[in-house]
Parts: sequence; structure tokens; C-alpha cells
Amino acid sequence: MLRLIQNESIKIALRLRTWIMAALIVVIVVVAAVIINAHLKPSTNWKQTLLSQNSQAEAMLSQPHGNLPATARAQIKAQVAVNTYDIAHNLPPGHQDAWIFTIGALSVAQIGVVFVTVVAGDIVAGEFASGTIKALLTQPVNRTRIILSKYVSILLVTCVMFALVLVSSIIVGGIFFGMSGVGEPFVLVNAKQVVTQMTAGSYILLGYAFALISGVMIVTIAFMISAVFRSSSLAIAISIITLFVGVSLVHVLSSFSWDKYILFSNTDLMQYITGGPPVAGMTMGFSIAVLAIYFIVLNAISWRVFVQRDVSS
Amino acid sequence: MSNATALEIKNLTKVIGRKTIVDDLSFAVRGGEVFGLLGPNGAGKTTTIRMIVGLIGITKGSVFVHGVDVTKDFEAAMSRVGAIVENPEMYKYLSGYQNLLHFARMTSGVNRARIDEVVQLVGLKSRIHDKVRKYSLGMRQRLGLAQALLRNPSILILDEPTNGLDPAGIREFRDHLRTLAAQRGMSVIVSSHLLAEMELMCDRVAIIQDGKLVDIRSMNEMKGDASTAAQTTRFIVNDRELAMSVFANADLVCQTAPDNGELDVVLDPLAVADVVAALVHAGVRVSGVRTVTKTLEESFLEMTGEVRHA
Repeated sequence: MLRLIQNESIKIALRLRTWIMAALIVVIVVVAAVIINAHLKPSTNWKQTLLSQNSQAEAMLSQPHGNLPATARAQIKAQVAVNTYDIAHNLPPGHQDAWIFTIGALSVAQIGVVFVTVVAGDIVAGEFASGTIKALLTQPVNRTRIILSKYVSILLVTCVMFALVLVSSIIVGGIFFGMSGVGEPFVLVNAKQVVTQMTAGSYILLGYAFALISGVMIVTIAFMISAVFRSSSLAIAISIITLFVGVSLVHVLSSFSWDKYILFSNTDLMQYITGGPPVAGMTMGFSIAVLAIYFIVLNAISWRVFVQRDVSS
Repeated sequence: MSNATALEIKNLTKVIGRKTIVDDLSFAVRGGEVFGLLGPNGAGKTTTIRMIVGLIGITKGSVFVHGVDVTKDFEAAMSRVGAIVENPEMYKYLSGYQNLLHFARMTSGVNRARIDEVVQLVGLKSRIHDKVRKYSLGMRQRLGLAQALLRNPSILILDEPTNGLDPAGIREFRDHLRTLAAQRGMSVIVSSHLLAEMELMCDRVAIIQDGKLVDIRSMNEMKGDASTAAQTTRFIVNDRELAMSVFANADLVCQTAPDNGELDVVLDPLAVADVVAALVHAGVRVSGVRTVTKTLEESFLEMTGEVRHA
């Protein structure tokens, strides 16, 4: 099995496009750092501004409870906490360090997911398109092991992509903005509308882990379409569309009771750490269970179709 | 050992939708023989081969590789089989050697020494580290053969192996196959719609039409056995009328050949000398006598023609 995974990984690694995509990710990270760096010029009286913001906020919070929804109250409280911390530690608003930059780089990882989708969409369909599937399936290896080795290599590629974004943004961010601040608190409003905080380091780990989970779901969709329809372009197109439309779909359908069972209501587990779920009553355990079911069903479809298929073209 | 059954096919049937592509096909291939599947396009040759190597599912019947049922233990069965199905597509972005390494990793017990040996055997040594993208079709065919031979199979299965090869390439390929069968006791199963090619390559041929087995013949049988059976003998003479009356006197049936009007007579090879003597005695000048070997094509058309009329 390890040698099959090695085979599939080599076939991915020896293609030029893989390296172009990896290089693009690093380039995007660097460009983002350059742009952010160019716009970093805090005003001289930023402390005054923050202080007056805070006193305005206190005034709003002192009003009777009925006038302000709980969500808004929590947001304001969080802002006050951030401002107070920034003033005390002499950090102008919008300041950067490697860790803040790395959290921002999660949106680069979204582009990375699109790239991995291209690889996942091609890994089965490409073998059919080139005809190499015939040689691959006439070896003394059954089809279950072949599809499994392909899927595992796609998961490896996904992990490598996230690691690349993480490591390159820490390094690039460190070069541009300095490495201090890993213990700096991230103030956030949790799902119960309570203001809490965690260190930048743990926020990064959590953010990347959850982004990896949602990335794996997208890539699994691409892989399934690749295995079922043997068309890489269809697989890539559909998974990119679901990636971008999925989340807005959740909002459009939010009036329906089954909205919470849609994959994209559950892909972003970060919603249980900050802000709260799109549908009241959802819990992280619920989302993990829904994700697990989608994961199993998508892979069962890929496996079933691939193992049963007549290779006759 | 080499005469034991290497591959056995029993009542193999493939139905797609409502169409029966392969219909109750049974045959056995012995060790060390080159066995051909011959039939017009669409007869079911490729479907049969793809069922043998597990590329498509079997509707009914079974395939045994050295007694192992392919559907029951695919990995054990395929470890004895090497296959090229249609054009041998390899990974174009890898070198020939990387391709072979890739397939070697899919079989236990194929080391680099074995890869080198196979590369040597198919004569690709000088170009093996080039990208497959740069290979000619003939080189790709040789790389495909190397891939099929990697695990030292006892059965080699080739579907339309000479499609797209030039005459020199076909000849080279044929020589490879004959050597492998003769020297290594490998059974080779080849499908083709090209009669002349099968005639040169195979020991036995199964003729398939409309998914059914029409007949299995050894090549010697098909061409007519030279020593015993009556044969068509062609006489080239100056006076055909006179010659025909001589044949009539000897109770021999004479036909005029369709292409040039020469006289064809079916007779025992031992009687040829007597007939010539009789002709000469009657004053016919005989300028040529030769046996007309039935080509595979003629036998083939005869056989498949019979099926059509039945």
C-alpha cells in the first residue's frame, strides 16, 4: 500500500503544474505582505481615537438591555477589550506581526484549496483521459487499493498545501513584520456571545486545523466527481462552484429547517469558536457528525463507482 | 509442464444493456503457445480480453489463470499475467524508466536488476531515461511490452498489439513474441482482425464472430495439411480443353481458377505424378504444377460465411 501511495505522490510531484501552483502560493503570500506593508502607517494620535471609541462604546453599553441585541453588545465589548489591550501594550490599530499575518493568510489557503482541487479532479479522470488506466488496472493490485492510494495521496497534497501556506506566511510575515506577538491575545466573541480570548499561536493552530477540514471536504467532492464522471474539468468546475456558492447557499436557504444539514452549514467549524453557528441550536458535535456522514458517503460513491466500472473506451 | 493449461475460459458471457457482446465463449490456452483471437471488428475480441484482465466485469462464466479464478483472487491471478490492452499508453511526463519503476512498485519482487533486464530485452536501453513524450509509437510499444514482462508473467495478453506500427515494427514485435513463447515457455494471447498477421504469429487461432466461438484451429490445419489430405493443385498448360478432357477421363473434378483461368484440380498429392504423365501422354504441354495453399483468409471467410448462412 505504501508503494502505491508513493507511486501516486510521485506522479503528482513530477508534474510541472504542481510546482507552478506551489510557487504561486508563495508568490501570493509575498505579494500580500508587500501590499500590507505599504499601507502600514498608523496615525500619530491613534491612542486618542481608541480612547474616544471606548467611551462611546461604554455609553452605548450603559443603555437599557432591550435597545441593543445581545450580538451587538458582545461585538462592542470585544472591541473595547481589544482597544484597551492595544493601548496598554502600545500597539497601534492595524499593526502587523508574523502571527496576525499568518491568520490572514488563511484566505491564501482558500486559493490553495482550489489548486488542490485541480489535482484531485485529475487524479482519476486523468488516467482515463490518457489511457494509462488500462495499464494501472491490469497490475496485480485490486481496484480498492488503487482508489485508496489515490485518495490518500490527495489528502497528503492537501496537508502539504496547508503546511506550505502556514510556514511561508510565518517566514514571510516574520521578515516583513517581525516575529514578536505569538502570545498576544486574540479577543473574540464566542458562540455564547461571551467575550473571550486566546493566544495568537493557538488561534492559528485552530484556524488552520479547521480550514484543513473544510478543504478536505471540497477536495473530496472533486475526487468523487473525478472518479464518477471521469472528467477533470467537470470535477474542477463543480468543486470550485460549490466552494464559492456553498456558503451563500446556506444563507439563501436559511429559512428552511433542513438548512443545517447542508454540507456548507457545517464546513466552517471556526463558527463555533467565534460568532456562533448560522442556524441556532447547531453544535460543534452536530457539525462534526454531519461532516463525517458527508465524508463517508462521498468516498463510498467514489469507491463503488471506481471498483465497478467497465473500462472499455 | 509447458503443455499444461495456462489460461482457461469457461462459458464467458458479457451482456451490456440488452446486447450480448460475448456469448458463451470457452477455450483453453496451453503453456508456451501463441494463441490468436481472430474476428472482424466488433466480434467481441477486445471485450473478451478485457474480461480476462479484469478491465470489465464478467456477466456470466469464468476465467481461470493457472486454475485461479480471476474474479475470486484478482491479485494472485494477475501476478502471473502481463497485458497490453490496445495502444500501450504510459505516463508521458515520466521517463521510460520512471514508468517501469512505477509498475514495478505495483508487483512484489521486481527489482532494478529485473527492470534493466527487461529494458535490455526490448532494446530500449539507449532511450530509457528519455521522457515517454519523446518516444515514437514503436518505442512506446516496446515500453508497453517491457511493462507487461516486468513481473515475468507466464501468460502475456495483447490486444491488437500491432495497431499503428509500421511493417518493420510489426515484424520486430512478432519476432519478440515468438522468442518469448519458444524460449521462455510463455503463453501469448493475441487478438487481431488482421488475418495475415495472425497467420505468421500464432500456433492456434480461435475464430470469433458476433461474440460466439466459430472454431479453434491450429495454423497447420487451417492452411491444409501438406502430407495427407487432398489438396487443390493448379496446372498451367498450353491446351486447356484437352487437359480438361484428360481430367474428366480420370474422374477428376476440374475448376477454372477465378483470377486467371488456370485449371484447379482437387487430388491426392501422391497422384500428381500420374496425372502429369497422363496429360503429357495425351499431348498436353505442362509448364507448371503447384499446390494451392489455402490462406487463412480463405479459410476464415469460408468459416464465417458458413455461420452467416446457418
